[in-house]
Amino acid sequence: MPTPTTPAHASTQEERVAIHCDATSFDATRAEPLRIAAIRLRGHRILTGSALILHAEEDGFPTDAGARLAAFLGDRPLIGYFLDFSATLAERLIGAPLPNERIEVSGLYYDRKIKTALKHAVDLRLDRMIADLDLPVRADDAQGTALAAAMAWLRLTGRG
Amino acid sequence: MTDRSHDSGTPAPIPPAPIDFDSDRPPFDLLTPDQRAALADALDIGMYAKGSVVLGRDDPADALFIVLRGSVQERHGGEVAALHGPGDSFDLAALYGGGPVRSFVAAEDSVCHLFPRPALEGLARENPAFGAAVLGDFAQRMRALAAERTNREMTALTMARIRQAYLHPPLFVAGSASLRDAADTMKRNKASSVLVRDTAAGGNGSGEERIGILTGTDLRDRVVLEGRPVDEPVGPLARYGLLTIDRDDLLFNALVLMTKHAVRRVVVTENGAVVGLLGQSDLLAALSNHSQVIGVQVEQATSPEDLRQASLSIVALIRTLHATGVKVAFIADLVTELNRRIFRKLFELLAPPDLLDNSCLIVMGSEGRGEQLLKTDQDNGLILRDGYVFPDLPEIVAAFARHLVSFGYPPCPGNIMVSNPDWTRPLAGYKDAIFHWIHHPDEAAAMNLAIFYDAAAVAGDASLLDEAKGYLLSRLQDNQMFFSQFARPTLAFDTPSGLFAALFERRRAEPVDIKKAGVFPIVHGVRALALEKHMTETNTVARIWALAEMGALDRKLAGELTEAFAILSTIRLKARVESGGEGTGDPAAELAIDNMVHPDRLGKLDRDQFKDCLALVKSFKETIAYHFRLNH
Repeated sequence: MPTPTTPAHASTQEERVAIHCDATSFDATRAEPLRIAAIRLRGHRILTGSALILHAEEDGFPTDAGARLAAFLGDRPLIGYFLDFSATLAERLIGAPLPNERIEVSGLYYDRKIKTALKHAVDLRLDRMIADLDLPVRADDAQGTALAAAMAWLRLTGRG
Repeated sequence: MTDRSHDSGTPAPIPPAPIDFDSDRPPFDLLTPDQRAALADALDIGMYAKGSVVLGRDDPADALFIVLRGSVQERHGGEVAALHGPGDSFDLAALYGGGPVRSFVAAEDSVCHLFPRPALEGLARENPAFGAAVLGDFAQRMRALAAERTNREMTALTMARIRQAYLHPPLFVAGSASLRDAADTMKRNKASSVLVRDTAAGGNGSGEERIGILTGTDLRDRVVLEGRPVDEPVGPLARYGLLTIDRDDLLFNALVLMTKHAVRRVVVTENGAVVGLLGQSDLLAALSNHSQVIGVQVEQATSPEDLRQASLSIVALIRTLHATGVKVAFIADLVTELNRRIFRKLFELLAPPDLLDNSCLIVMGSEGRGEQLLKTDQDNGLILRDGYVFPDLPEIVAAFARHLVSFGYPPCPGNIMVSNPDWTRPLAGYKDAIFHWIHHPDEAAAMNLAIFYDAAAVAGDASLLDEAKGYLLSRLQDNQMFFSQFARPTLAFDTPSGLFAALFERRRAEPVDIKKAGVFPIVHGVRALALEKHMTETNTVARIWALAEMGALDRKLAGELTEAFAILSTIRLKARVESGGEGTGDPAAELAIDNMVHPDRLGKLDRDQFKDCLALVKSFKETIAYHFRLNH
């Protein structure tokens, strides 16, 4: 007997988190994070309404930022574009390694393109990928990039 | 989308990102800039590949979907009912319950904004103009609240559709098959009945197909009792005119159907074709408290004591149904049906056949309107055929009233009961009384007329009541004065509104008599309108829709009144069921009549609904006052 009060997607479909980090440099060892955006995904939905956006203040991130981020991510698989970079900075902020499964959307994109683009190198730049996948998003900050990664993942996995 | 420029050299005014929500579009343009920002922050995004389900028929509608890209099909059954393109939103109906079962499927790769329900309702409260535009009119809003309640209280019972119950596969035999073949088919399939597909070979001879049923009981009666040869064809012996119900209908409606027609199985159809049989026992298996059992108890009663037992279990049934979140309209249907069967059976037990043939037992007031939720006062009468005399009548009617009291139906304070000679009299006597009520109207006469207008026949010869009512309608003249007089009680009791802040504030919350302030004005106002139009309906909701049908009542108002009436009835039932104290042990006393509603004890949902309903009642009273010129 179905239980109408339990949202179908809440229990049956696991969640994931798309994450992106804006930083002072692209070298993860030297970069200081400026802004971190994390957005949960559930089923076909990208839960932008409850995204976590953390900003660095003049003297760094608020003291509870790491704890909030860790709680938001939980053990959900992470999705990102250039994810290892963001994850490294997130780990530094949290102060612990992130054992979460990692899904690199540029990797998924590469796997798809390589089947058809034999003669050319696959252009993995984010805005090329967004245009090519026809995603209605502009990745001009951490939030936009995390959203783009989330959308790209839905599209590349055939969900959306 | 085609190629996008990605030379980042020249700074330009930032165009909106393609995912940004366009809040310039109605009704979102009604929002203030701050509210628009709050909306943008609350939105989720959904992406749906072509063919994927956006909102399934069993998914909770927890958000308003607004299509950004692509298109989404709305499907009812197997059909595409609508296509929602960019800018279109769906589905308020799903969000607020009601309407056909539907699902939404992406017709192409689609992206939607999802406006979560709490955010939607928050903004609607904050910005009433926006709320009105999005949530629509009163009726829709009521449904919204009702749906929320239903989610909270709903159990498998009320949600369950016939589709979810076990159906016996249909077992067909041809009309030309013999009784023996039919019995053999039943035995081999362990079935208690077969469906007979008869091609009406006799008579007109054309191939008109009809489907009937032949049960094990029929076989016994035909062969064993009537001695028919077993090789006789089943075609002419099967019973036709099957009770059918659609597979997507509620299980509960199947129960009502069985109870109403006193049958043990109904035929289930899908798109008009027979797909199976739903048996009483399978239905019972699905229901925790067996209203059908009470019905059977009533039918098989051989003494008033048997009936008393059946009658007392009605109270438990009402409690169970209410506790499991069954809609009040369903409860009323079922309880009305059971009560009437108890009355009929009791009368049949007490009255000899001769008296049954020459009289008509009627119920009046709310029982006549079919709006009885609990056992309330007896309002009954007996119409005798003119010239018919039955010497022992006083003893019989006295016994009838006495037994009903013992069943838990209190005597009528106004003594409108068969045991009162004024209400047990020949048709001619009723006609005299009606003449008097119409032409010498005073308070008592107006009340008698009102409750008699609601009368329904329960046992005996219903044509006697038809004739009395026909007489009533024929005596009405288009006399403004008379109808004003008749309608005036609609305004008799005050309906509180306006000072709701004070009314609903905990400390100062005065109990409100929901019957006087809410239910009665609707019932009587509608009754006055119906009488003026010489309508024969007795049920308030049926009257409302009949009035709307003939243009005497605005359709929107009709819808709102229907909703408000259902909600007030629910709150009333709830107040009574919950005020019934633990302890006394007497089930009849536990549901003592208490019409007082304590707003401070209502949950927030109920309180909001109550408030809205009372406001509607108040404006309906103004409509009635204007229509019947009661203010002059």
